[in-house]
Amino acid sequence: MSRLKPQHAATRHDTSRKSQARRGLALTAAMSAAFLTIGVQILRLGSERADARPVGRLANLETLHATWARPDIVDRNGRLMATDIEVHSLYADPAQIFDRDEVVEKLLKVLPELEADDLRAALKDRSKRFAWLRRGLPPRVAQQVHDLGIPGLGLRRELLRAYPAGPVAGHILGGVTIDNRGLGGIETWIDAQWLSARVAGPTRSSRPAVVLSIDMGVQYALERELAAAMLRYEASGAQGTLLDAKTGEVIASVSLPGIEPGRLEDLAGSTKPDRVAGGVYELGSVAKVFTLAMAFDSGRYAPDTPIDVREPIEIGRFTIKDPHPAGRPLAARDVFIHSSNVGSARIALALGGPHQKSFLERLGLLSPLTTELGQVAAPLVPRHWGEAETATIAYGYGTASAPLQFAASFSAIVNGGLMIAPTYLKRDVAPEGTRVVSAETSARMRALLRANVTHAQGTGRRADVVGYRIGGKTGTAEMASRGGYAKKSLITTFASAFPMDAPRHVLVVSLFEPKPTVETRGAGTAGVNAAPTAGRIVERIAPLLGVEMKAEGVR
Amino acid sequence: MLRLLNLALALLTLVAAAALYHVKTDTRRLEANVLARERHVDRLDADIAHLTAERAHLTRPQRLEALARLQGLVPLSGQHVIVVRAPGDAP
Repeated sequence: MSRLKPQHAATRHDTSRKSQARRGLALTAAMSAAFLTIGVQILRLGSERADARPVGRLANLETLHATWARPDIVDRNGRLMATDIEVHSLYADPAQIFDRDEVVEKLLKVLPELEADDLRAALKDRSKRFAWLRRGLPPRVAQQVHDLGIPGLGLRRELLRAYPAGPVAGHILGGVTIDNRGLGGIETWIDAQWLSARVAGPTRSSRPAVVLSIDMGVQYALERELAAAMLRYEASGAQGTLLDAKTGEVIASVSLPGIEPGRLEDLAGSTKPDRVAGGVYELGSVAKVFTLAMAFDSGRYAPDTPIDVREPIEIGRFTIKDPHPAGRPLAARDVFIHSSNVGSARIALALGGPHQKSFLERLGLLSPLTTELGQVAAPLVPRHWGEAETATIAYGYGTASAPLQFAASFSAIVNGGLMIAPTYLKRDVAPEGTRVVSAETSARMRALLRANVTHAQGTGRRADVVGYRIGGKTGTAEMASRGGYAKKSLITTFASAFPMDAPRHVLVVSLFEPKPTVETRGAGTAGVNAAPTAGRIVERIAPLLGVEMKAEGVR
Repeated sequence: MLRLLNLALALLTLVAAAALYHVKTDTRRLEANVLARERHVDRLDADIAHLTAERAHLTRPQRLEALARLQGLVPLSGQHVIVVRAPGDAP
């Protein structure tokens, strides 16, 4: 045993040293692993991109109700027309409301516009944990509701679309739903272009503003003048379309009765349709602009080419005659100034239906037009284009188009002959356009249109205002009714451009069902109501548009 | 030697842990700071939107027209323009 002792001691010593070494290694490995983990973590934190972690905006979710953030809408001069503002909306948790009648009573003191029955109904179902009571409260009212301190009521912040200019340009702007989704007008276009974004809470859109081609000052002036004309001539409605003849931009577009942007009841109903783009009308003799342009552009007619208008034209069961027959042949220029139906029909019949159809197609009057506000009401075109149709279309019956579409085609006649698609968005560069008539034809038409205003017998003479060189053509049409035309329901139109020496703007004004008045000496035609209305409008808006006044006609 | 290494590693681990803790708390503080600033920016943004809308409302054409008419101003027309001609100029 005694010999074995040192051996055992040595063995134990060895075992102990090995065990100590193993522990040391394990400890080292553990420490290294821990150090490595911490090191890796530090390296990871150090190398992580600042925006890779959900901090700040993503964490800012105090208001959970989802809504849509929309970009601002401004006019061509940067004036605000629509914007999102933050508002408070009142909701209730019916399960937490114990005395319903007391809550209703207190709320009605702050929100008297609410109906007691509606409130009771909203708070009735205690199984529901959420019910909107009032959306879009002004800050002061929201504070008053908050101060009531009623358990079970809460306020959420959300976005509300505001139209600070009020009812101006209602049909163009359209409106939005309570959740800020587009509902008509340019607001629908914004959604279609994915410019609005779903947001949780009152986060405003970071997108740049949508810049319209509209000039808000001009738009307002046009609305005021048309409203005054409706009163003056006891008309049931009116429309006015102002285009930039070079760029196709819609500078102003008014349909009366108008709608207030954002008013859902106005947008949903059809009682106040957009007459500029949403309806098609036979506009009567203003179509003679196209007939004469077609004649000159064919090369077969010049302004002094004589046309026999002595006898009415008989086509089948139709008789085409002039209200005030000239009784002698008229030069093409005088056919226009006297607004002769017979002369216009003779020109169209001489050139032929296919020629006329092809010409109107080139002007875009027979095919649908689309703008940012959607498809313009499709033109009505006869299925059979025979002699009778050729003759009547020459003086404005047989095809019908929306005033906007008409204005775009009229613009091509006066701007040098280039067809340019109209737009409601601001264009920085004028598009090239498509040539539809020669520059010479356009120049001849400009001279004719101006002569129709300056000539003592011109139908548009009441449109003349000093300094701004208006040129234009009148049109009086009976409104289409079931199975024919309503003799006493007229649409009177004045299609014009100014300044006529270098037209920059095209203005088409229509009055719907104007009545003969003392001022018009019992007449109800375009020459006595639409033409002077256009003159008053031009006089008011030309300075806003920067049109240079010339001494012509100034005292 | 190994013990010394262990000691150094343990010390380094403690220092690293302290540094990590510091980074973490500092990050949280900065996050809170960012959040507060973002909320402040959002509030200011909302205020600016309100004020811009209010300015647009106050300068709406119908209000300006009413104010202008109160001052006796009317839209410019041909009646307000005269042409000054030198003697002998054609009228």
